[in-house]
Amino acid sequence: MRAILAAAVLAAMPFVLGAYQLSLLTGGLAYGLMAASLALLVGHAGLPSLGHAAFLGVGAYAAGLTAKHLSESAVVQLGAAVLAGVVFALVTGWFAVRTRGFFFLMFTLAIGEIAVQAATRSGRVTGGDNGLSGIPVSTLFGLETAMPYVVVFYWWALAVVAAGFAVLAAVRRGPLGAAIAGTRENEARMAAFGYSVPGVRLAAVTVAGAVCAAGGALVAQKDTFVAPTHLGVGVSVLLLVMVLLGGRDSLAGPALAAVGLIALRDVTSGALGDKWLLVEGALFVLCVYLLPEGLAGLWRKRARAA
Amino acid sequence: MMLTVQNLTAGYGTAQVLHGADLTLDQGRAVAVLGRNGVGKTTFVHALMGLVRPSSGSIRLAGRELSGLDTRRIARLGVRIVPQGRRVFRSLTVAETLEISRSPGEWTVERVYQIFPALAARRRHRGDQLSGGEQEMLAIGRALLGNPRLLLLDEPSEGLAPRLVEELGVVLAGLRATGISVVLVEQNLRLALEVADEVRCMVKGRFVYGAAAGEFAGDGAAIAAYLGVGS
Repeated sequence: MRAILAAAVLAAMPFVLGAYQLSLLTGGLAYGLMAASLALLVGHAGLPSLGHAAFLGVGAYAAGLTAKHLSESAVVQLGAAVLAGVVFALVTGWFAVRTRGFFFLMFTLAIGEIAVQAATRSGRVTGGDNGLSGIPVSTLFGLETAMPYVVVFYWWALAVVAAGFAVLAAVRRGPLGAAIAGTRENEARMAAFGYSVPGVRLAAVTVAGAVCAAGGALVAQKDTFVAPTHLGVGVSVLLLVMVLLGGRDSLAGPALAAVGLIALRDVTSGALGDKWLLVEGALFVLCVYLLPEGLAGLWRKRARAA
Repeated sequence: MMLTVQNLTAGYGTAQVLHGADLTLDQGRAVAVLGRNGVGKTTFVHALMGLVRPSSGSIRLAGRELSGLDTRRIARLGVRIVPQGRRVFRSLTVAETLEISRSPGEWTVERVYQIFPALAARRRHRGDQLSGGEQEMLAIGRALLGNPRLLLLDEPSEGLAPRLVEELGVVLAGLRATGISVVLVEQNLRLALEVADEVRCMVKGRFVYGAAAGEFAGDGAAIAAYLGVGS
């Protein structure tokens, strides 16, 4: 119910916001979806990843390359991104889920950095250090000829983000989500039920990776540009910060934190330039102290008090 | 023979706990494993489940060798354990826990709710919101939903009120009729005698005494020797 209300309010935003803010919100929503997908790993599966941006990048490059060489349809590009995300998740996840805790953290960090190197070194395909530029503007069912592109694209992004959230929510509530939580709580117990713990974890990584890749497709379509830094540890940390600020056991919390952080970055980087990172860092430290459960902890506390 | 254990040894690091345990169990029968604290009862059932790797000896389930298999494979072959201290998932609800424990077979979620109506009333509650008795029912229910051929129970009566232990006895005694073979580790002699057909007593990682449950109940000297006075 609350989700439908939120979607309705968001869908009305083009009538309230100007083109610039709308574009900013589009990016915020895409990052919100990717942060929520990371929350499935960090909070629900107990797998703290430092390489989640690799899925963003894989999705973004897949969508961008599809746009340049295959199809200008946004839907086709999204499909290519999700497929690439699934394949990348299965290949890297197969190894990653056999480690845990600190080693999982280091392993995913390494995967992310390898992905950066791969994108940088294969210049003929990816544009190398310069990034993948010249991505054509994607077509959106022909609606873009009738309305301002920024508005149509915002609705497209909102639809993708809503679908991604629906997938994440369904997985969390369903039997797979219970099994994922089970492996987080007690591996030995799950094995004693006959479950393959790596198998359940791989399913979690694949769902999170596919959803994150969808968010990556939105980034490529919105900016018509992808850089190797999109895959790197900087973006991975940003996503982790969003999860921790929002609350790792929540979907809406990280999304809200993402939108807030993107907006804050826009305001402070305009006024402070590079120093905005100081503001972000200070905010992060404060939140860790004051809101150990993240933003989601705030409304949970209110629900408990009521 | 459903279960044949021969000369089983196991331990933790350099500390050997089981020193050649032997045991056989027919289908649809229940054996109580008794003994004082620290003699190796829990290690014995953990070795059967693959939670501890046996260092030598053999465990055969309906002729199939289990020794050396990992826990997951053993579970797939039809063994389930109700661990000491229940170990229910704290963050999962009763319904979720039962849902992820299901394997095809005669035991269904509805049937578990039938034998444990208290669980049905608490199906939306999380594991950490249940009482000790409800947690025990949940641990037994999720084990039964695996439709095991062999069920291992490690001190299910621990920490339960006497009335609950009695209820538990009725449910466990009823399981034999379903054809499940049961290995019950217990400190509560009354419960053990109510549930089990046979009794095996363990001393220092070995079974040194075996008798029918009725026979053991009348053997005051054996009870005093293996369980200590007052048990």
